[in-house]
Amino acid sequence: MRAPFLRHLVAANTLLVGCAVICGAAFAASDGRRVVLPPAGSSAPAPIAESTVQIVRQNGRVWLFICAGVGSFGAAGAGVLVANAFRFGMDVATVALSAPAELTFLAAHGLLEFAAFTLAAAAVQYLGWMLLLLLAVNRSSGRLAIGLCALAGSGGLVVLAAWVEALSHAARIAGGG
Amino acid sequence: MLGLVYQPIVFFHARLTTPPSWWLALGGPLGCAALAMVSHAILSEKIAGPIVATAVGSRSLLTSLQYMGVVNAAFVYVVVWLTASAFMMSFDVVTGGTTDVPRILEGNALAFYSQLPWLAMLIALAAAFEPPAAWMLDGPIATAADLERFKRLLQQDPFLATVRGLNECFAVWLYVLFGVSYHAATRCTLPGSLLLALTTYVIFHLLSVLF
Repeated sequence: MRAPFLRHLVAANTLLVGCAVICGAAFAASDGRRVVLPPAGSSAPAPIAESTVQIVRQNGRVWLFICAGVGSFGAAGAGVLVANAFRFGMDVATVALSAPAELTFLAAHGLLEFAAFTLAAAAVQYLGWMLLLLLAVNRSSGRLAIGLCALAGSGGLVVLAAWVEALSHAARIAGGG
Repeated sequence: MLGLVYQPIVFFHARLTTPPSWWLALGGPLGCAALAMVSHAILSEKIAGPIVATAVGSRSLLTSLQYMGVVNAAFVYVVVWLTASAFMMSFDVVTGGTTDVPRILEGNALAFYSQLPWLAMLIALAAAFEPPAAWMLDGPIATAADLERFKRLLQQDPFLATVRGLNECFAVWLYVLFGVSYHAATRCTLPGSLLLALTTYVIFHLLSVLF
């Protein structure tokens, strides 16, 4: 069990996220949901650092839930990932129907966030599979370092996504596009 | 499979004489997930549907109420199966019990068949359920406070409280079967196995309350 196995897990999770986003978007579109967004420039933007910390705390919670899924051999992480992707799909469809111009603010950090969550879920499934083999057949195959590096990388991506989200949010509020 | 209900100890011991059947085992948690998704979908449509329809401009607040329960129901049984199995397998490895650890995983999955009648009944109950008229609030759910008020109404409803209570009883029965399965697969005594299974239940319950 080497790096290709982790790559297959990343691919499978990406497919899962894609399906969940499409399902969420289809639900929201069929329901004709609309959202009323505050107009650009309607309030003063919060400092970037403060917003970033706040977003890291919110997204870090989801990331931690995915990581805790190692106790269920990665299944809980997949559940959290699908639920969030489903909701993201609903948000994308709702914004596309209500205010399509806002999609540019949603897309950049959304893609980064889901890249982070997908990588985290794949890493946790990789580590979970190692745990299952260890418990069930007393065989320690695979390289722990690969899984841990992928998990650390996903944590870094969560922080980067939060920073991009804070920047785009500030730009939107300032009305700078 | 009926032996699982009225002779669980005999059932799990008899399973050990046949080779593991993973497809049959997977049918337990997956069947539960499918039935739970149907009942959640019916209930959420009846509870949140009319309110979402009237809540113009603030529908996103109710999104989690209407659909997230259905998405979560798809995973919760599989997660419970794998997490409880991981906990019990770890305990077995630490205490140096059996050499056939995958049997714990198989036995726990088979225990989920005991939940299928209850989950089928839950679909019938969800179909028969009519939300009280008092649930229709004066105006749309526009703020977090409105949403909290609506959640309180949901928690106080006697029908839903009874269903939640019964669901908890069946969950305890599921963990009892985990204990019996563990007893059959390992050298652990029946009281010890039941204690381990119920400890697992209490830990998971505490975690779900805390988070």
